[in-house]
Amino acid sequence: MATPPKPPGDENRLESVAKATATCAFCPSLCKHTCPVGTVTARESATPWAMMSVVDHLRTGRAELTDTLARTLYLCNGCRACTDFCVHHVDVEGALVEARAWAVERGVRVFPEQRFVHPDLTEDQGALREVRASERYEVRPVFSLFPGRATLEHTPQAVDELLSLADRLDVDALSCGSAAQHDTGYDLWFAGHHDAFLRQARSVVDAVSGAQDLVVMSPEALYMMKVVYPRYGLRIGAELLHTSEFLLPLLSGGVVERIPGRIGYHDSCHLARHLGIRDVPRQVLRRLLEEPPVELPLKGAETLCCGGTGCLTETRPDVAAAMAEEVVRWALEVGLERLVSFSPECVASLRDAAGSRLRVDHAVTLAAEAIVSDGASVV
Amino acid sequence: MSSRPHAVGYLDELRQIVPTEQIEPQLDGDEGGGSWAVEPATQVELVEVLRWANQRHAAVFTRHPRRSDAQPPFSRRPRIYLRGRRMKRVKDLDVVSGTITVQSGITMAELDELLGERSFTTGFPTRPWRQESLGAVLAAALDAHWGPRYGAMESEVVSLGVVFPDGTAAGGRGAPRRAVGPDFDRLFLGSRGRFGIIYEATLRIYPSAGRVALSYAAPDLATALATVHAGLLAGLDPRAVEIVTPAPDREWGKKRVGLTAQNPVLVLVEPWGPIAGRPVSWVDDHFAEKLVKLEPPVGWNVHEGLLPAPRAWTAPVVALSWRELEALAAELGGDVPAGLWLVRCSEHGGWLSVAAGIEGQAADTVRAALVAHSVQKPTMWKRIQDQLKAELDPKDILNPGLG
Amino acid sequence: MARVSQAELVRVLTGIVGADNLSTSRPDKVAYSADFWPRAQIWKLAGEVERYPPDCVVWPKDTAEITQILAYCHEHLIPVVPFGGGSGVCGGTVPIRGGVVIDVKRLRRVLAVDPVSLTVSAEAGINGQHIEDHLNAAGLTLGHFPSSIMCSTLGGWLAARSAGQFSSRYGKIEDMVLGLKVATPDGAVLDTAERAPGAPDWTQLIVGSEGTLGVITEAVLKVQPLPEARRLRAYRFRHLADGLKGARAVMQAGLRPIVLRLYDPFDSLMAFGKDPEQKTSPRTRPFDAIRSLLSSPSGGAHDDAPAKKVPGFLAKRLEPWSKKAKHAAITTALSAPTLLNRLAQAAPSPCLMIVGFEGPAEAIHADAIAADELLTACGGVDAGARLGESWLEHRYAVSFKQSRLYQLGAFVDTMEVATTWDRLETLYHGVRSALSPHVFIMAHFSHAYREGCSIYFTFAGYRKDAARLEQHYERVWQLATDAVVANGGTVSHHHGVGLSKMAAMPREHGEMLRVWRALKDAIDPHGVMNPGKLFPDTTEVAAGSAGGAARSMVRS
Repeated sequence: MATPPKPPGDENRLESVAKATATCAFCPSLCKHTCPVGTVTARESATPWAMMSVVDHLRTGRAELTDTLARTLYLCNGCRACTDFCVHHVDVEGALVEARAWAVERGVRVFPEQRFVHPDLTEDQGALREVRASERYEVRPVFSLFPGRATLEHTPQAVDELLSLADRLDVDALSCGSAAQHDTGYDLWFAGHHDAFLRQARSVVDAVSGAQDLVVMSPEALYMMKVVYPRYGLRIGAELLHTSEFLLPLLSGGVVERIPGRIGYHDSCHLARHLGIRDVPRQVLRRLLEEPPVELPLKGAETLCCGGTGCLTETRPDVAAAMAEEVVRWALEVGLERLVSFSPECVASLRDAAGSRLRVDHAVTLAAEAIVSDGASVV
Repeated sequence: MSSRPHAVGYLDELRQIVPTEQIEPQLDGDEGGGSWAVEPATQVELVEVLRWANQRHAAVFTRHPRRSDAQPPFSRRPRIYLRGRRMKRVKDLDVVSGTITVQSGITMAELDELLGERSFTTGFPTRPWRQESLGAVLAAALDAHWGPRYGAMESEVVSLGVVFPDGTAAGGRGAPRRAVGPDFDRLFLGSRGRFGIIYEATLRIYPSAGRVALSYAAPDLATALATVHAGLLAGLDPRAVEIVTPAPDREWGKKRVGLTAQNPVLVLVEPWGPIAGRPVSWVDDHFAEKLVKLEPPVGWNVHEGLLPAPRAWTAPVVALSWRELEALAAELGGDVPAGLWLVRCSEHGGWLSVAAGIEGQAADTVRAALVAHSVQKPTMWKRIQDQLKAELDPKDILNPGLG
Repeated sequence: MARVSQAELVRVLTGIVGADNLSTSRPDKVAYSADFWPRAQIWKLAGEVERYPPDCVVWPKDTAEITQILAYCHEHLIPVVPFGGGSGVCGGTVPIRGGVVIDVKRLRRVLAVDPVSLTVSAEAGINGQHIEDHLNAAGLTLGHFPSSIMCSTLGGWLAARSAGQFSSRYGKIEDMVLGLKVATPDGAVLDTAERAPGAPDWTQLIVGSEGTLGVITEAVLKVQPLPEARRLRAYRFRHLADGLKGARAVMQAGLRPIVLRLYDPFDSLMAFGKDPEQKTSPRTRPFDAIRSLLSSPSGGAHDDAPAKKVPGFLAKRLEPWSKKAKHAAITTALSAPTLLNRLAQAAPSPCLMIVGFEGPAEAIHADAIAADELLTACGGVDAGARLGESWLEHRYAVSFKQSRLYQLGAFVDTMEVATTWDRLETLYHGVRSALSPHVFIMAHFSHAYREGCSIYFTFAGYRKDAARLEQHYERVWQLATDAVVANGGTVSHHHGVGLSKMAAMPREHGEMLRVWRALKDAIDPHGVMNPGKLFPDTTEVAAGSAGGAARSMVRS
């Protein structure tokens, strides 16, 4: 039940999600156990049922829009666990995005737009500067690496590692281009500041135009480009690939020194649920590890969100941290030595939570460790 | 019989309630308010006796008289010793639902016989408390060999009929399970007649065919426990499993069942029956593989030949988990005390006790474990129990002095 | 013991739990003003989103904080409503007198798992699915699968005597619990495992108290190893009586199926679809429409047809209908349900039974064969494994459906009653005939035991406006509970009492309620714990904001 977005300024914005919100408002909150925010906050008002009920009350006039009510709408982390569990597949994320946009339009801006704006990275900024200095920089490459803002911010070394991996595996074509300096506008979109989001999105579409293939490192960014942009009539011409999808075919050609230990894989929500990329990352890991990756009890489509997404780190950092802690606890419970993820957002939040208890890495780091060289050079 | 005028007056009043033949004078002190054993024959008579007792501030006991009863604090109060022997009517034998509703004065032996004639049995022990009334067994929550399928004694009761100390009767037919508040019947099960008199009970009944226990001998407790535990985890699903070592004075019984010095521990298993649970052959294969099979199989009356009479048991009966049982067995090693009694073995553990008067290191170890796992000191519940008593029996009529 | 102001209350409680864990904000008041009592849904239909808001909600982090809160409320006569998942359907957590809602969901740790003795110890606020996840990770299962498992908590299960779908094998929650801890209003924490010789089983005197005695904070429960194998099968019975006879035979032979459910003809039709040979007449259209709303998406009756998802094989036939026509057909049918109920009864549909076993593979193989013999002897016809498996797969799906009925302005509710086998059919017919003129009704028999079984009635009603709908709802419940009591059943098998069945309690318990009063006086003498619930004549609380309204909700 995906919700088609309404153009900004539409008075009936909420009517477009009426069916979804009414379904939730009269449902006995059957998805409650899937909601990581509801679980860590222990609050009824932070469950999908409660948030959707608020939207339904606002829609039907049973309640008036206030700052307090609007604030509730930001407790969703957009992990879609509820949607996946629901028999009706109610699009809670979509409905809440619409509701936030509706509130913002009415001037109820509990979180100012500025908090979600991530200005384009400039040359001087650390990670990007290094990338630009590398040989693998073209302004407008055809086979382009799009790390996404989160990757450059949280796991910049993964960008280097991926590029140098491409070197070792002799993949000439991949380069990083000027598009890398753009943010896809996920936060703006998610927080309901849609005017700004659309401006941002257009600039991204422009920047990547001309690319044939786009290797996207941040699952959040990939979700925006693949799923959200088209809802607003924005299309990216290039074929969109996730890092794992890019890596998998390359691995067969490389010489791999398999990594030992109890290493587990944390599915990013955007990757596993929004985009359905669940097997490819595992296949990549299986080729890198001595033992198959250890599965967490909540895995694949049922993965537990670590709080790295949904603007929670902006709006409720305490909740985001508690969610990450939950994932780390599971990892420690199943006796992991190392936890890897393909999402820079996940790696950042899990690293913060784990501290010295558990090593958390980007899966690309693992690949960089394991792949010694391309097969040809050894022979 | 006392000649004091108020005692005579009380007797006359009692005669208005129950026929004279149901009243038996008891030994009383000089200052006594009168002391009688009273046998109500109907629920109405029971109710009236309690009402009278309330009016006259009598002490009503559901136990045998004691010499000390004639001393203070009860000496000046009229004392009634209730006997249930005339209340043993079967109100309903529902073979469709598999329940019996019977008055509580019936003895366990009578109940067993009555059901046996119709090829039924209760989930209650058939031997150790044969002469006790059903009411007494329920009020004392006496533990016995109910197994995983029977559960504890309490779970055999579908519903109770009770009379409160002021003579109000309560209780219903019950249902297989309910969710209408706490299970109030439980207040009367095991509380030794503090809060009310159980006058009838609806119990679960079972087909009695095939109630034979298979018996095996084990060299030590650890082997016996391991075999039973493995069987339960493999889906043995029996009616009852027990582990017993005979009392030292029961040599004859020991010989009869076939226990030896090398294999002193008896393991009793009662399979469920022809249809449900693992078939007898499976049970036999499982146990005979590790233990020595004893022939012929024994019935549950085996207790009489092996264990001292129930009244001789002074150690508490304590629930121990498998983990705790295994630790105990490891501590004991090859040394197992006589008179050990582990009943109601389920997937979670069992109920352990040991006979009184057994000497030796092993018995001390078991007794230490019992003390460690039993609740002896007054708990936080004591205050609540006292308050319940004060509210339900403000005049302290019923079994006073129990604490 | 002076009344305290709201500000003072908030100040003191904030001192205990911290500002982050106390709320007086609107979203919280709305979210905690009701549980999933259908009547509260009707309030929502009427535009009232918070008829009974609490004065504040607190989220204590441990038992110590709970005892402090309780002691304070006890001293100042402030009503306290313990809150778990809020999934109750009887109004048990509606703060009808305002006061403090204590949400225990921060107490959500699994404290210990003992795989040798097969026990688990956990805090009361843990979500049902989460405790099951933890146990599964250790190769164990609780064996407790209420259809609310996703949205209910351990504490809530214990407070309301919950039953899972596998109760025939593993028992209800009261059969699983070995002991629990309860925080009482005087600030004490009682452990029911501390049963001294000569004392009653306190556990069973606390289980089912629905928050009226204290706050359950921890429990120790029996668990089971994850089963090696599981086997489900369906049987078809021509007559309901035959099916009941079969169910009884299975249970009394000592077999222990995980599940044994018998659907009455109409519920069979709803749950599993129509016999493919049967023709549909135009008259049964509303019927089909309701099926599409109510049924669980578990496929058709064809054994070899693949299980279809929403909304069953009738969906195609419904397509040509306009939405409006469908709406009209359903609401008309629901407002005059007699015809529909008659149609349902006349429909020559068989009764379906689901039987399942789990455990060691060879043991359940033998059990399944034994059950097959018994059921066949009673007239059952094997309908294959697929329907059984499909039931298992979609067993939670039906709960998702109710929301659609509310959207039409109708209500749907369920009543789970129980009695011994000898009265089961009488009870079934008694309730059916009492309700048939007023609501659309169907039933299935689940939670079978050796001596009896529970009947799960589902009924739906409609009135044009919400105020009349609420009156209608109330009347239906009055009739329903009267019929249950008159036919010798208990009015609740596992949903509990709350507000909805409170009026039936004097008849259910009779003088036994004295025990209740004594317990209440001993443990909660000021009557602050969940006042106005469970039993009608508990000590009234002087404080509180909605006393008058609360009284009006009590049916005489």
